[in-house]
Amino acid sequence: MKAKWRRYRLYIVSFFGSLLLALAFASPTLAHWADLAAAEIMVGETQTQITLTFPTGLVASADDNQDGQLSPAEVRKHQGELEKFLGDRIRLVDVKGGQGNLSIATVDANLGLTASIAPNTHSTLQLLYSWQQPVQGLKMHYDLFLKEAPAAHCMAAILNQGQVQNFMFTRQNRELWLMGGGLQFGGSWLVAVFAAFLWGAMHALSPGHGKTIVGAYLAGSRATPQQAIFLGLTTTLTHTTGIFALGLITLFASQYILPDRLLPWLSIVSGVMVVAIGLNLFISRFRGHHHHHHDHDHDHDHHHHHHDHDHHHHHHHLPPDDAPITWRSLLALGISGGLVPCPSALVLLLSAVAFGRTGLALALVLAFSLGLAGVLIGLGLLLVYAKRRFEKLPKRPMGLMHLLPTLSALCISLLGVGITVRAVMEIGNWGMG
Amino acid sequence: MTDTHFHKPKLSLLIGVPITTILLIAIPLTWRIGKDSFPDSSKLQAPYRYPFTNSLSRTDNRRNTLQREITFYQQRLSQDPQSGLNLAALGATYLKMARATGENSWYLLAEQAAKRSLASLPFHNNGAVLILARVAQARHDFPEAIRLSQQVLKSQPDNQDALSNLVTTNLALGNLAAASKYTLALVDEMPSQANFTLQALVKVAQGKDQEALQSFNWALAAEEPGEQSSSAWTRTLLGRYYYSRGKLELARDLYREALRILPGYYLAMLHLAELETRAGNYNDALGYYNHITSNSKESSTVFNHAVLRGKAKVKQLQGKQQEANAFSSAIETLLRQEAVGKTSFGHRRDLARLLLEGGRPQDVAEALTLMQQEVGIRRDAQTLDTLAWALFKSGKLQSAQQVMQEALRLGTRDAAIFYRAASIEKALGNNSQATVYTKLAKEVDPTFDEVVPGVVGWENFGF
Repeated sequence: MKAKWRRYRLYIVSFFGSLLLALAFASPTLAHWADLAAAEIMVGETQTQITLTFPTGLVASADDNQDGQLSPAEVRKHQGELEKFLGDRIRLVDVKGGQGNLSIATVDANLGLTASIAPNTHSTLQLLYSWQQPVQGLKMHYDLFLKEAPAAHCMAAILNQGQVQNFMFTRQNRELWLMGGGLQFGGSWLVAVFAAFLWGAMHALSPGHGKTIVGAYLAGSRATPQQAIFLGLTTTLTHTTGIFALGLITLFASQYILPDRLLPWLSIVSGVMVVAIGLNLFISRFRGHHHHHHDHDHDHDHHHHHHDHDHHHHHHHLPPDDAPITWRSLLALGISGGLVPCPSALVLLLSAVAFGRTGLALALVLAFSLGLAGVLIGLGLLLVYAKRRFEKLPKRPMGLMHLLPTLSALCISLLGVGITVRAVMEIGNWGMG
Repeated sequence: MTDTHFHKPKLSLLIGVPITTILLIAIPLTWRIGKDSFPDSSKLQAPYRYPFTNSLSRTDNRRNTLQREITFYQQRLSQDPQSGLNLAALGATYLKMARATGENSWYLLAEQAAKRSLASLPFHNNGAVLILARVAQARHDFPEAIRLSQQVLKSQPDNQDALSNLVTTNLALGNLAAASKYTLALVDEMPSQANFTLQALVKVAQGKDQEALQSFNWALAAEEPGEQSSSAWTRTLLGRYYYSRGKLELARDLYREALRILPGYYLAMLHLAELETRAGNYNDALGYYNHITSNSKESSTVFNHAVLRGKAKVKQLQGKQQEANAFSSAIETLLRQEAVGKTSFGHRRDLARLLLEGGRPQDVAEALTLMQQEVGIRRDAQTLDTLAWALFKSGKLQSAQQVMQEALRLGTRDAAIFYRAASIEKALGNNSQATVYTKLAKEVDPTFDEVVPGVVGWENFGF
């Protein structure tokens, strides 16, 4: 048995080693000038104006003379199709789900800038999104990238409530939430708090927040609904504390520490914790699995004359009471899941503070976190109950049921490795190439 | 029943061990990178030592400062969206951000704001035209940069920015006489640090070393507190001059002084990385390269090429051929996108040099084609040298000799060019002439190493 375990251990180590190597040497693709887009966004009460400079190749069919730049005449001629195309790729939606109506216009500088050596590659358009009612919160979805340019991105300078913030839209980061006009009107703070709650809930459904880890953990263990709630609350509490801490750093120490430099380090801490939890679970479940088989044979030998044979048989084909669900392990997992605050929440906090509404800022972040907690707890409960239902189903093939806890522990470790390696790569692997 | 001897996760271990490990790794690493990026002491004496130390900040806060400036103009524009003057001012601030960060997106925003400004205010709007000229230059669209700058000079013959543009653009094109003429106009009009530094650059390109050093000294004498960008720039270029003359210690001190003045200044870091590569301090070099890219994250930057090439070189020298190939492959992909087709922003030379370093026959043929196109745009010493190299590698020795003669006639004193001239003459059987050029190479840079000529070179990184 020991030799077998050693062999498995070797497989595990070599697997993780290969995974780390594969991730560490992945070379990022770089964008070049012709792939880039840039936007100035002015958020108003009922209108948001985007001045967008983008690669003309994205709308090549409208570039009739193929000079690499849309002329006013070409824009007028293809107005309808351009509005449809751009409206589909760049969507602005308020918290109630109302999509802004788009109209486009040209920026006609009439400069005579056509160069013979480096032809134009970009066009500039003004996109105007309008709503019937004042907008409280705005979700922006940007998906205007050249197919053949995986590293293409769009830098947006956004003027919202008198403050400019920059945001980089990439293929991995296509959505941005903006605080709407609610903040400037004292009477509508309740709407803003509700919007923040909704935002938190919707944000929890986006990738991250340890949902996969929590899912893998709960799916592979005998968790109770109380434990699922505890896990969701711990993640949310850690997340909220993290936002406040990072917010304070941003406000008072931004001259000395760059907050975005801290995020990858927090990710590493989180990732290493997840790996440790996963491996711990894996080892205990793996051993439990073997112990269980041993016990099964043993019990069978000794109890085959007993009348409760059926009961024992059934019991032994369920995962044993093997998952170390302790409050401590849940706490550690919850902390690791919420350790890295999401930038959106930070933006929310800082935007409100920027308006001198510190109290509102706290309320908004709390509402955001409650929304987040609601979804995380809901998902946790769903998993716990779904798993109970699953256990009631006929258990064939039996091997899968035995392996489920072990596999889920392995998944947790893999996710932890992924988080850690990604964070290490983000830091730029200083000094090591 | 089951026998469950399971390990309960220890909370203190689960949380404590990773955090302690990270702190143990992160603090020394951060301290080291911080120490290198923000040196707090100088080994230099006057005039190379920065005299206004008390005015220096310990951190690189240019981004924050410029962000506030952008907010200011955006707020004004929200009141009056069609204000041509405010749009031009906003464009100028975007341009400053582009130059401070090296991120190409800011150039796009600057161009966009300038075009909107000109749409609102089509006449007497030289500020907006000059922004477009600067953006054209950044895109290596040199003819357009010259056309726009000259357009400004028609209405404002002594416009400093237009003259400055014309100096750098003509320098990049190898039009040294024109560059020199505009420099004289600049320093006559305003004997500032930036203008004397430009003059020094032209003198270096002309091979007039003593006059170049004199201009650098005048630049340092004209130094003013609060002009940290100019102070760091002058020292970086002076460091580059000494580097090309083999004085590595002095060059290193000057680069570090530039970083003391302007923490995180990417141009100084790039040159420092190049120097450490040559000095054999590969990990330091990689540290600088990584530090440069860590600031820009996902952004496309003007220094992407230089960083990738630098890393490829370091890995090659470390004997890590596979990693070197990976970096070379990345830079080749990037350069091919930029050098071929509609968007040939003058990066053909970089691609050609990369192909020539690889040395495969089909690559040499492609490099030659690229360089024959490139000399149609610019004929500076480095471009002509690269063409001569491609011809030499293609076996066209007579043509290589002719092109090299043209490069040498410009007067630029570059050890790598002299070395290449010697190789061509040697291949042609002109051994005495080859000896003369080798001697000249050693005169320029006594430490010039023939074993790894790829490491040494007058890299201007295209800025």
